Amino acid sequence: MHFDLTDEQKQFEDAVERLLTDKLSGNILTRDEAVPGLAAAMDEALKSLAVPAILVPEAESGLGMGLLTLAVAGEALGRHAAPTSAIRSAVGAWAIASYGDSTLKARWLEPLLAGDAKVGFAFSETSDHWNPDEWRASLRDSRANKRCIEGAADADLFIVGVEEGLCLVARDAAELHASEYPPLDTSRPHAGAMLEMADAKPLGGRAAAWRLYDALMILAAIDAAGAGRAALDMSVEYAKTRVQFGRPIGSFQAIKHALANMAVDIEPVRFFCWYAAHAWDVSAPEAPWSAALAKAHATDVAVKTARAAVEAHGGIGYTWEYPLHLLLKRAMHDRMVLSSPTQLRARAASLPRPLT
Amino acid sequence: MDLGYSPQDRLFFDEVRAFLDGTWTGRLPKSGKPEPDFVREFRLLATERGYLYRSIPKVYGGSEQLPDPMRGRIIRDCFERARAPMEVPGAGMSMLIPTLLEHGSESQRRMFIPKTILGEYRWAQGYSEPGAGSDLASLKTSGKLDGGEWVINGQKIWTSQAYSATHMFALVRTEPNAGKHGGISYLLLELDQPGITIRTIHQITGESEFCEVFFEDARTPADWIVGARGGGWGISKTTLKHERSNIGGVRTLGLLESLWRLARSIEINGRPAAEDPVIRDRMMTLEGYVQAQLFCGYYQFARTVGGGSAGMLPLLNKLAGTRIALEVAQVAQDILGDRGMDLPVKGAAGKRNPAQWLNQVLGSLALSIAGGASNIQRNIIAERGLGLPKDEAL
Ligand SMILES: Cc1cc2nc3c(=O)[nH]c(=O)nc-3n(C[C@H](O)[C@H](O)[C@H](O)COP(=O)(O)OP(=O)(O)OC[C@H]3O[C@@H](n4cnc5c(N)ncnc54)[C@H](O)[C@@H]3O)c2cc1C
Repeated sequence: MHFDLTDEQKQFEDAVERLLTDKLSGNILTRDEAVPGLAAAMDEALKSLAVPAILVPEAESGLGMGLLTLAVAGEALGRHAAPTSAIRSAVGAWAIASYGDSTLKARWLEPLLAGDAKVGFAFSETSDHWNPDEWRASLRDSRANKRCIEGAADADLFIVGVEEGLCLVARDAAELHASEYPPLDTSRPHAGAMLEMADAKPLGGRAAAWRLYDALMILAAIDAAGAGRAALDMSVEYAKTRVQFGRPIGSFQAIKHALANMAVDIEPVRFFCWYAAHAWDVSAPEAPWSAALAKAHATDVAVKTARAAVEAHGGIGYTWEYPLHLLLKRAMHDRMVLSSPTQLRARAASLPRPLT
Repeated sequence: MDLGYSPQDRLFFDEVRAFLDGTWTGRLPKSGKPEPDFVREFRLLATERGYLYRSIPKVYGGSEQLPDPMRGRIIRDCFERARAPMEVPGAGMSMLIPTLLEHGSESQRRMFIPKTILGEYRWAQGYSEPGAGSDLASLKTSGKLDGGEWVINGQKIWTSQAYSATHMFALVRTEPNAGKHGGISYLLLELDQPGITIRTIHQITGESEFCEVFFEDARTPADWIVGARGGGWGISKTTLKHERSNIGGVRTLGLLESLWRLARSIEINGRPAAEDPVIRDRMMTLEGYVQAQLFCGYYQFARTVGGGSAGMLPLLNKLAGTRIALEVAQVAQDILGDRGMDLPVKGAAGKRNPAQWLNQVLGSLALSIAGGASNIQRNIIAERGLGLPKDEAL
């Protein structure tokens, strides 16, 4: 029994962290107009680390390193609130490698693995309805209307949730309708789409849909865990340097206790996410339970932590120029997508629990 | 990431289980009752096999095994499943023996460890005083050397199990001119003597687990001091280190499971409380915290096995566990509703559902006080874990 990352995963974690620190340091992401360019640069850089190929099995020309390894990258991306399509490419490639027929694989696998094609996941149809049991669109329909599709504007293909399971719709069969407002989380712009279903290609049934959905929930969870921990770390550093009443604010017990409570909340979260990813990798019977609960728990705690971080910073934390709000909004986004914590806790309560 | 046993672990697991199948047929007596002879005999056998008292050298009655957290864990798992007794419980085993092994003299180890292991010597922890709780180093109980003996005067309070203990390890001020921390020594003493009066204290649960201990010219031999004169503060820190090194997690899981049992056994609006949307949501929220803490414990364990450090995580365990237990108590109250008006408080620990719950709701509060109050835990996390400036006054 060894509940830890492998040496290989740790080296990979360091490599991603170095890359992100190098490219996204300071408050560069707070300049909205810089975000698209940074997203493109991040995609390129993560391609060089082969992130899009992580999840696809070796037999299908991927790296076969599992969701836990992808989650390691995901946590780092959350820590830096990094804009990128690499994680979506990795999961999209996995879905096509696992459930696509030979034509689909021939068409999409190579560009996805290389990070040259981008995926949008088209799930939600109405407000607060995200999960496979709630999809009402059907392969029988001529069109499907989907909302809140991350990365829709750059997507080359859409993986679409329908009653029957999943299907693939190409870019030219989609008419996008952008949101009226800029996105809350600027690192993850999204749009709705009206999808022509005539040429939709089936991509696995409902079990496949849930397995994909579980993977995406786990990635949202670890992303939030990363953002929450980064918000704590920023607060700790700030508390050591900001001086009021002639001493660092971190010497006031009220600040110490607030930060200690944040640590007790957020530090353990990543390990639950690791477990959820591991359970998914080995297809444990409780994998759906831990995916749903980890998503609910991690995003709830991350938002709570990031909000407390703003309070601990005072006025500077309330500004657009200071990057803390990026982490808060990142966690809020993770919390809002792919079903709310309340819905996910209710779901988990109906699923088989881990044996103890 | 690997959550299974390795082939060697599996062999060891089978070996321990076979041993238990062959030797443990008894039932554990209720806590508080004296232990029957077959428990003692079982412990001796298990020690011979190297399953108990693993960190204690053979000359002191232990089984002297190489440190191996994985084996330790397998033994604990197997014993718990078979409901077989492990080491004698109490402060003697968990705090005093590690302290003697680190700081005691050879004759102290020979005199105290074997009998403590057998349960003949039962120890009370004499640290807190009426005026010295969180600010423990302000303690006043005094010790003066007088003809080959320490003469002790003063008072300890909140001393767990003092009424049934035979001995005490105590922090005593022996160097009145040496400053707050430097004046304290770590003394051992017998409780059954004319200079000592023990009075039990009636607790919030109606039970009497802790006591007041009064010293009026109580005596103990001059060489029953552990470490040097005035070195007691540092030594008490090693005791606390051992107290905290037991990684939490499993206990909160068990606590939550018993809450699920309660929630399934009591109805709200004509269906089990576990299916009430509000109760269920709160329990699943707790479940998230418990799972996070559980796997955080697994990770700390993996780091220990690998000889590495888990950073600040061990400092978080006590507060994390306390917060979970306090929230379990809150949810339990909402499940019980006004049924709580007809439940026992005193003597209800260990009873069946739902009778033990009022006792548990109240008892959970001890966690936020005993062994370092939660605010003190927060100070420790902030200063030692997060590296925030130390408060020099503390
Ligand atoms: C069930 C139980 C069993 C116990 N068993 C033993 C035992 O066997 N042996 C033994 O020696 N002791 C024992 N204790 C005593 C325990 O260690 C003390 O109660 C504890 O250290 C707190 O001290 P106090 O009660 O004097 O409270 P105080 O120290 O007076 O604390 C009161 C409140 O003030 C807060 N506070 C104090 N200082 C600070 C600070 N610097 N910053 C912020 N807040 C602060 C505390 O958090 C607490 O909320 C036991 C206690 C309990 C409840």
